[in-house]
Amino acid sequence: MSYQEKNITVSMISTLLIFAYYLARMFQLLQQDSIDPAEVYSLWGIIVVLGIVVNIASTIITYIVLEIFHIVIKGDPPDSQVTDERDELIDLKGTRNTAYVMGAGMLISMASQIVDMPPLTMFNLLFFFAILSAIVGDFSQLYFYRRGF
Amino acid sequence: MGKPIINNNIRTLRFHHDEMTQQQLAEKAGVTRQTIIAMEKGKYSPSLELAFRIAHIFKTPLEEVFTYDPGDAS
Repeated sequence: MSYQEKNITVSMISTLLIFAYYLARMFQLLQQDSIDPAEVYSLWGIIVVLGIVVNIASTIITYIVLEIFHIVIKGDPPDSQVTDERDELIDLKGTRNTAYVMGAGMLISMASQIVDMPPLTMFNLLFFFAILSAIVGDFSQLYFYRRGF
Repeated sequence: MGKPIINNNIRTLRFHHDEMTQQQLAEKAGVTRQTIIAMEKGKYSPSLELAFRIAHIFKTPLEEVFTYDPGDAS
């Protein structure tokens, strides 16, 4: 597994954990008699900040851990951490798939307004698809790396 | 219509160049070892620039490194 694959795997796992936390908190809020929009907005804020911080931290930690693992334990320098044209193409394909899911999510979210659902549902759907699209993007990149291209 | 395929002789050329390792070729070409592996397996067709760079490393014409099989495109 290359450095890029390891990095994407860590990123995907951290996004999945944030997604699980988001779903768990949303189900908790849904079980209440009435949803307080302030609580939902606060949750979104936490998720966005958490997502950015965890993503940056996981990239740095992965880099450090891999360097230590290769140099101290394996006794040789780690695999190249340079991104080349194939990495860039795989990244582009992942971004394309992210955009597909996000685009479909936007349409579904807007459609919720046609069937008279509350605006909070629309924003929740948008948030849901934003996280889902990030996971799909990471997963598809891993798939392309495993397949070769 | 068959899918056009770009084949390559990278593995053979590496062997004829003092058994150059994939890592050595990757470093000279400025790509990752995984890209060389993918090319040798025929799973990835490089850009024109990378193809020329590899041919230059082996000091051989491009068409001796890469060959184009149009499939049954005709």
